Amino acid sequence: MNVPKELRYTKEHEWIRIEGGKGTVGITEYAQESLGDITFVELPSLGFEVEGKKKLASIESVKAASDIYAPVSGKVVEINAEIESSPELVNQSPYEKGWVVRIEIRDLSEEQDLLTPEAYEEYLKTL
Amino acid sequence: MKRTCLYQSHIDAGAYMSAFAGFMMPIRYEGILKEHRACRAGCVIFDTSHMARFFLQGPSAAEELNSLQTLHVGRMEIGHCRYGFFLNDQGGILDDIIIYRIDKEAWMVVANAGTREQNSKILKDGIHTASLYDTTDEKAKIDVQGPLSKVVLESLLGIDLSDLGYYRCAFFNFWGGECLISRSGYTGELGYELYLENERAIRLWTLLLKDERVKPAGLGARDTLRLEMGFPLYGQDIDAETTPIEAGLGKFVDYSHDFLGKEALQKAEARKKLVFFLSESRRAPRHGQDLRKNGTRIGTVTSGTFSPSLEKGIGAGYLEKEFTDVKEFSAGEKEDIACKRVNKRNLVKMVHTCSRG
Repeated sequence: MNVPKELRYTKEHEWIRIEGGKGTVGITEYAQESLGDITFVELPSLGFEVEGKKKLASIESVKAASDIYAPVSGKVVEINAEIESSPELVNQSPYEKGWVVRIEIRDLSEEQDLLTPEAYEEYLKTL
Repeated sequence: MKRTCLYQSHIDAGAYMSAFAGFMMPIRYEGILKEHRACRAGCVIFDTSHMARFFLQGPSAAEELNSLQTLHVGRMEIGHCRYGFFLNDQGGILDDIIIYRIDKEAWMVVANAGTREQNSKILKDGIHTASLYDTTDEKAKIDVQGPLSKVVLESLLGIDLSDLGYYRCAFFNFWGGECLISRSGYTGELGYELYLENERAIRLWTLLLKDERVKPAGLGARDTLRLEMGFPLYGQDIDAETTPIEAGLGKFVDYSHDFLGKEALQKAEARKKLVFFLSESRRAPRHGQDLRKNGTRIGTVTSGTFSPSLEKGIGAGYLEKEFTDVKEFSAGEKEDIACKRVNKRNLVKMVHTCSRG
């Protein structure tokens, strides 16, 4: 299972890439594989203020609908509109082309609550 | 958890497995969308060995079986298959079944997996002199579905399926044994259902998998394929709380003979109506959601998924009797999935137009 080293993770299988006070968020390889073919993504609007661990976006596969939670609190400053028209990008490239939103992080200390790649890999072994 | 005889093959193929009606079954291999499209355009195979199969034989079999379900099996011709129901004394559906008349005094009842014990009891309680066998564990069922299914089976098995019409069955000989084949399925495509002993079934499955025209498909694609055709799924769209009339399946009930539930069904008032609908977006309605019109609850979604052929959400559900004429409504937790009703015939036409180009 691909778990890139430069990212941080949640137990709900989101990843975040933190650079210069902003965080790019997506779902992990494990999440996209468990969901199967992704058919629909509902993105928040630009400027949406989200609290950490609260609903950030919705994602649907053929079989089920689920929510994507915000790994940290902040403001949505960019959305990946490409996955609205081509949701399969989330399956094909969960860590690159299939990113979901970019958040301006309110409090960088929240990073401490996230899982390191090692901790996330350990967590996956328990599932 | 039970396994079909093809379990190891599913594991070896890397299938995503999940529990279904007491069996560990393949849900998907390459992905539901690919498998779905392969069935509409080429050929896929399903392991449906979890489905219950009962054989009845003897001079009294027709009479005894008639009284237990909606079909008049004595009037079926040999080599015909027909769709019917086991009903309860309220006219509610205990199961939907297909009965095959395989010989003058022999019938096969194909039923759902989740209702096997219940059906076994209905049959044991009602069949006194005919012989009754449950062959579910000793024989496998493989569904070969898609426009290429005929040429694939003919070329691999050296048989000729040209004379086998829709909803007809016959025995074919290959590899030193017989195999019952019907031209039927749950996909709306040309397709066949094969019944044979476990050992030959494993050999057949392996041979089919090696053929480059064939893909294995799981229960996920089976569900999207059947919903696009407006076929109901037992336990979801139909159950003991629904009558065949409410489900729009009244034409499959033969009132020319007596059967369990007949009187109640003739008297019963339809409380709801099963309808099919399309979402206006890629967002799918989901099982259990309310159907609403201007804030009022008018029904319930019983099946909902993404339609791979139409590339939008598709659903089935019941409208309560005061609302059966409503054509547009919404589904979704927040009443945010706009849906439009579509009749079954138009749905099938749209799907075939989209998938066949």
